[in-house]
Amino acid sequence: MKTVIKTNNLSKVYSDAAVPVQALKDVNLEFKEGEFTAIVGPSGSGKTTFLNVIGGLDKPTEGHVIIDDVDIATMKESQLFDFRLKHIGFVFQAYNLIPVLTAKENVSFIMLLQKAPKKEMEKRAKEMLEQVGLDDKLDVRPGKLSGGQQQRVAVARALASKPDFVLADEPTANLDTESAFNLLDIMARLNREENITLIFSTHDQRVIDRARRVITLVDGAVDKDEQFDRD
Amino acid sequence: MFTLLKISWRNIWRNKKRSLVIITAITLGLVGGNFISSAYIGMMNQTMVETIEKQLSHIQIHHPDFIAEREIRHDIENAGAIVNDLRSHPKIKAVAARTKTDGMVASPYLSAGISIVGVVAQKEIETTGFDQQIIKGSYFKEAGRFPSTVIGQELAEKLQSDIGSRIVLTFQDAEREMVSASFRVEGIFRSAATEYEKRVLFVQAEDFNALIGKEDPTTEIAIRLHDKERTEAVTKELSETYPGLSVRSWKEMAPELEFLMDWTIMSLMWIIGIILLGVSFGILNTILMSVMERTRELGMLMSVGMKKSLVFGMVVLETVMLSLTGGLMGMVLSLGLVSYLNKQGMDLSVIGGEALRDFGFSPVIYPELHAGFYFQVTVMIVVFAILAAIYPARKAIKLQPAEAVRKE
Repeated sequence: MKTVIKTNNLSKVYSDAAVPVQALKDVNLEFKEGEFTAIVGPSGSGKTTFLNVIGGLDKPTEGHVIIDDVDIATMKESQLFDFRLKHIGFVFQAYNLIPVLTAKENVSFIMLLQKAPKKEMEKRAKEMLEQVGLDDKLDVRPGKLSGGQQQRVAVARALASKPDFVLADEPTANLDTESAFNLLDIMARLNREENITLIFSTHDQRVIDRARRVITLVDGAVDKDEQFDRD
Repeated sequence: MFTLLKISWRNIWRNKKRSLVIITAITLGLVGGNFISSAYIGMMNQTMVETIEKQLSHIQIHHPDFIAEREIRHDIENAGAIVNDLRSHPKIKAVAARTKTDGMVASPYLSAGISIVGVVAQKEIETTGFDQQIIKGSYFKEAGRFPSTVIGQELAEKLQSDIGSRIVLTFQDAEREMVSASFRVEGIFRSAATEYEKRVLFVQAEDFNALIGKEDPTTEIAIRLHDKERTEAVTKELSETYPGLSVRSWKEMAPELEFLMDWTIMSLMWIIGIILLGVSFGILNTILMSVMERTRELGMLMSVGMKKSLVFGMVVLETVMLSLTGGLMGMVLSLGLVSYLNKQGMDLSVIGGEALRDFGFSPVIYPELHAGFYFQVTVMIVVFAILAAIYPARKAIKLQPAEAVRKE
């Protein structure tokens, strides 16, 4: 299987605090295409920092992040904007949809930034909303959707542009059990069907139980890296 | 771009109350500014029209020495032939030959220095439409035992004269001898400027010429053009045609008029600029609050790869759209108000506006604003909106996407 992300000796130190904080310590990991991985660990273990660094939202203090044979750690900020747009899908804990756009417009938004043709964009947005079971909410704005529905729109948005991988930061943290299971079912199915690499940061056991790979971070270092057969 | 416009427009209406407050502020500020501007411009324009159309006309021709000495002996040679030539000029609408000199006017109550103007009534009507300024009596229509005169209302009050009263004019004839003659007041005129009413008096050219003792002592040829904008070109052409004469445009005769108009417009632009500057702080505050409230959303936009320049542009676009909404409402209301007042007129005499006449302005103002003024104000709104947007837009792009998306 193709390696999607590879980190070499990844370290991150936040030195702007009174006492420098080592958020990541020599992290060496590889993520293969189609993997469903949960990054777990206690608060402050470095999960979010890890996602930020491999998502090009933060730079490592040391080490390399190789995506598509390119070390994004050396990229300029403007290059990173382009890189994120083309290669990475994001799902956030607080959904972060654009409240003034409808579900369909939200899903199309990233494709719009990518300057995709309008027809293709509309078709794909409808298709994705169908996939997440919201084909009856195409023209509804986020304010009129439940939390679970909003997060499904966010997943459709992240996947619509066919990114190389999707980073989901605590995507179920704000959801009730039913919505969380529903979302996880959808993500697992999309992971299988579209062979999309999913990387979650979570301490939600419901997510951990679905992941085929679970990486445990403790104090910024990889403590465990386990594979599970979920099928 | 269309989606960006759509997002920006919808973002404005996220907090309707807040947006409406600032839109109302812009609207009222503009209506106020435009109203004041229209009143001043209307006032200045009326004065210009009054002075140019009713008194000076567009171009005047004199003997070069007449301008300084104002004596009959400096009349225009072959004035009759020149006037006939001018009347056949395609750009010239009307020509009036005048005989002007300074003299004294006396009534049983008072005497005063005066500028006497001998006119051919019909030609003067064609050139300046002066008959419309008659408020009492008539403009050289009646024949009587004494030659008739038309005087200003202020002078009539000063001399305690009315229609039918006799007054005596004293002036130099062609031989520089003093001549006195009795005239009957046939008409009383009113102009925007009290000073003009006090110092100018009209008589018929044929009566005046007989007293002067010269057949055609024309000292001034007043020319009215079909198109005022051609004044400079025709003045130049006539100067070349009549090199021995002084040919002057209204701008040369009354340079203060154009200066006053330019100065007025410039001052009004400053006033509107200051109003918009004040309002732009309100706009800045509104947009800044809107940006701060959307930290998480802006963080998301930048996280998924929306370029900073686009985020910056979106905030600027929102500000410009918000400002233009208020701006356009202000413009439409101003247009309605100014059009209404332009038709009705604003009579300031009820609040003591008669005093304006002492400064050459009419107490009845017809506010007006030309399209160029509205356009300039619209451009100013956009410029101020962009300036007001810079700080919030910079604030937006300075956000760290990774931190901003997690902001509570």
